[in-house]
Amino acid sequence: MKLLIKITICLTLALWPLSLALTNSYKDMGSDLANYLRFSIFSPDDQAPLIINAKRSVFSSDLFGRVMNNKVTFIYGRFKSNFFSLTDPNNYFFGFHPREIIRQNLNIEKFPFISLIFLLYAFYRFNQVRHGKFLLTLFFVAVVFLSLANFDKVDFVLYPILAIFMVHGIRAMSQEKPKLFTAASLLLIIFSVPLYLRAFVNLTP
Amino acid sequence: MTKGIIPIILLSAIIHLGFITRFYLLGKAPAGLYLDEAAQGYNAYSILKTGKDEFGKSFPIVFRSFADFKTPVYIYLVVPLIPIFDLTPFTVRFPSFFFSVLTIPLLYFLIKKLSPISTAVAIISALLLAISPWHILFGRTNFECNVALFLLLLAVLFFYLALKKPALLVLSAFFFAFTIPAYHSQRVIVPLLLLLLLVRHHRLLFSRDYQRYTVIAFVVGLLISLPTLSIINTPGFLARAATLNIFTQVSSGNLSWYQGPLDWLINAPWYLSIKEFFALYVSYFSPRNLFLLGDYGPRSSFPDLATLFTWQFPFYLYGLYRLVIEKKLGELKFLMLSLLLISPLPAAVTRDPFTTIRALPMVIPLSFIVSLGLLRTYQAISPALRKVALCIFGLTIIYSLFNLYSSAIVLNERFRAPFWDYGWEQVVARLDTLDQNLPVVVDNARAEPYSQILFFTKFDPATYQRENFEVPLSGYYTNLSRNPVKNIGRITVRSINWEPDLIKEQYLVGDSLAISLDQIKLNKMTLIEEIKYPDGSPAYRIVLTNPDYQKAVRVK
Repeated sequence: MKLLIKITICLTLALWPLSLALTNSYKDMGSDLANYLRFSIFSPDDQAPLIINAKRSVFSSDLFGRVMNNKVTFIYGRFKSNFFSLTDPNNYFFGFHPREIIRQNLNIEKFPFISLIFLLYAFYRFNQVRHGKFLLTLFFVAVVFLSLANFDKVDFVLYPILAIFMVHGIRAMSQEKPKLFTAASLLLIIFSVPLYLRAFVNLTP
Repeated sequence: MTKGIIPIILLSAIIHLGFITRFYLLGKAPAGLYLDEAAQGYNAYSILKTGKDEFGKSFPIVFRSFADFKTPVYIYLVVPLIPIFDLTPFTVRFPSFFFSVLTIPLLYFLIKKLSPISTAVAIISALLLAISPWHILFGRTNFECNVALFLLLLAVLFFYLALKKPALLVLSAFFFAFTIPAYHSQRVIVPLLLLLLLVRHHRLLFSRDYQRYTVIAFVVGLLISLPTLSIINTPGFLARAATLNIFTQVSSGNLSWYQGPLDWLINAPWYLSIKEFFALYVSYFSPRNLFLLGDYGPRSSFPDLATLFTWQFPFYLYGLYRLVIEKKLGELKFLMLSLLLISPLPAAVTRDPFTTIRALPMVIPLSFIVSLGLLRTYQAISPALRKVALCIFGLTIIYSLFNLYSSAIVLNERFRAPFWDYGWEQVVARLDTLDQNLPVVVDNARAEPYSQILFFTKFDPATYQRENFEVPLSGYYTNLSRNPVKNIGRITVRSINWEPDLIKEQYLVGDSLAISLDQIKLNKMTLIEEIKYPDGSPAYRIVLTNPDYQKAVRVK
């Protein structure tokens, strides 16, 4: 069982750093950080006034149009777009929707999708997670900050928090539901074969 | 709050709110009438006048229509409405509206029946359903899913009532059986939900007191389902599932450029298909889809509004957590979790990313989950601050209603009119004012406007059936071939064939691509009318050909 737990943890946690390493994305982290600051949700956009005015013009009441469509709602829309991408399980486990291409590196799968079971189990046993409330608060604070700008690749800062939750989920499930854990781990191992092979093959399209 | 008459007053107010949000400009917003809506309406009209559908089939089990085989319940519900309200967009959208409003008290009574905690959660759930953009959208338009959802909930309510009065099992079976032909996705949801309910309550259902009613209920359900079962193996019944499911096409993520020795593993269909299915399934719980993007389809979403309001996000997460960990929720927990987990299944096997129409039953557990999150948050607040919290909640609901009005009425009408096939009513009205002796050709290269023309002209169904042929009636459910040419009196719906069509004096109707301004100028045609979308862009053009000019040019 101990070996199975170790394999499960390795297979769960290796994918995201491996993807960054294999695609050399980590080398761009410096410029990504610069981009993060440059492309904030507050940065000016030539299209923004056109979009806002086009929507405003539809309303018969100018005041109502201004309340529903203004600079604040536009910036808030950008914030929401980032925020909900960062809180989307599909982002971490499936590279968003299977037929959706957002940006190349955002489409990388960060964790094997079978490992979602362990994350869910960690939340199910949330009260047992050491410093669980602190970690969850930290996660959402980080997500809010990341949502203020282009979080591309910089979102790797969320990795340790998610990793702690998943390791807890793996450990808790192995103790409390050993049969379910064994089944999930075996599935993870089987699905990891094509998954990790694809991570290497994807290098030379 | 939860005792006495107050819940009834609150429920009454919520039903009124649900009524207003769904009835305001019903039939006018969304502007236009989509071809499926028109087809359902005209088939209902045809059944009313002749007892047959547009192809001459008597009382079909599923309606052939565009060879997409529409479910029958909605169409048969429209039939008795036509003599009352006439054949109008209002009429064909009325059943959706009606059953959508009725779903609100139904949800209240279902939760109240099962809730061991308080009436408040039932009230809040009903309120959230009343203002739910997801539920409202399908309550204002002709989509069969809302009627199916109502029938499903009614069947479930009678099932739980039957746990004390066994005779009600028959009514439950009756409604379950009618839910299946009410909408395609219910063919998956109903059997799975029934199976779960049977497994959970098998001891009671097969006990001595219940055996007789269980058998009667089964027989009633089977008898009602017999027509559907009789065509279960036909291409018509399977048409939707066959064309939309993810297993009959190349899986997403296939690295086609890789031809190496590990291809069988790297592009393993079992891996890609299973992964795609789970990606789709999880996407129905994704906050990004639920609170930001909504349905990608322009007819199944409102502009700038997702399926749930953004402010509901923290309560969604907290409510989900409470639903999973609270054991005292008992049967309510079982039902809501079952509905939550089953509802996305039929949608997740189709290739579309997030289709709210197929997963509509999810709106029920989601309303409950957000309500539970709200209630538990409220209970966690110190009593001194509760009045402030209630005020904030009230203001949030008011803001949500403004948001709804802005998206569903104002922006939707302006920006989504083309997707609702706006303009055919105006085309038909204009054609009525023109020379009735001249033939009309309506271009159908990019659309199927014949159903809208039949609908708005209220063309005699018997004549239409006589003058059009697609397949022999023996092949109604099995032969999927189509006839692209439709004859509607002097109107012929087909692709414009410019060479012969220009040398005949007639009216041509088409969109701005089919009949461009250059084309009109070049062939010296007369622009009779340009129908415009609400944003001012051209929708359709009606022109009169100039055969004299054509003859002169061709002689030269």
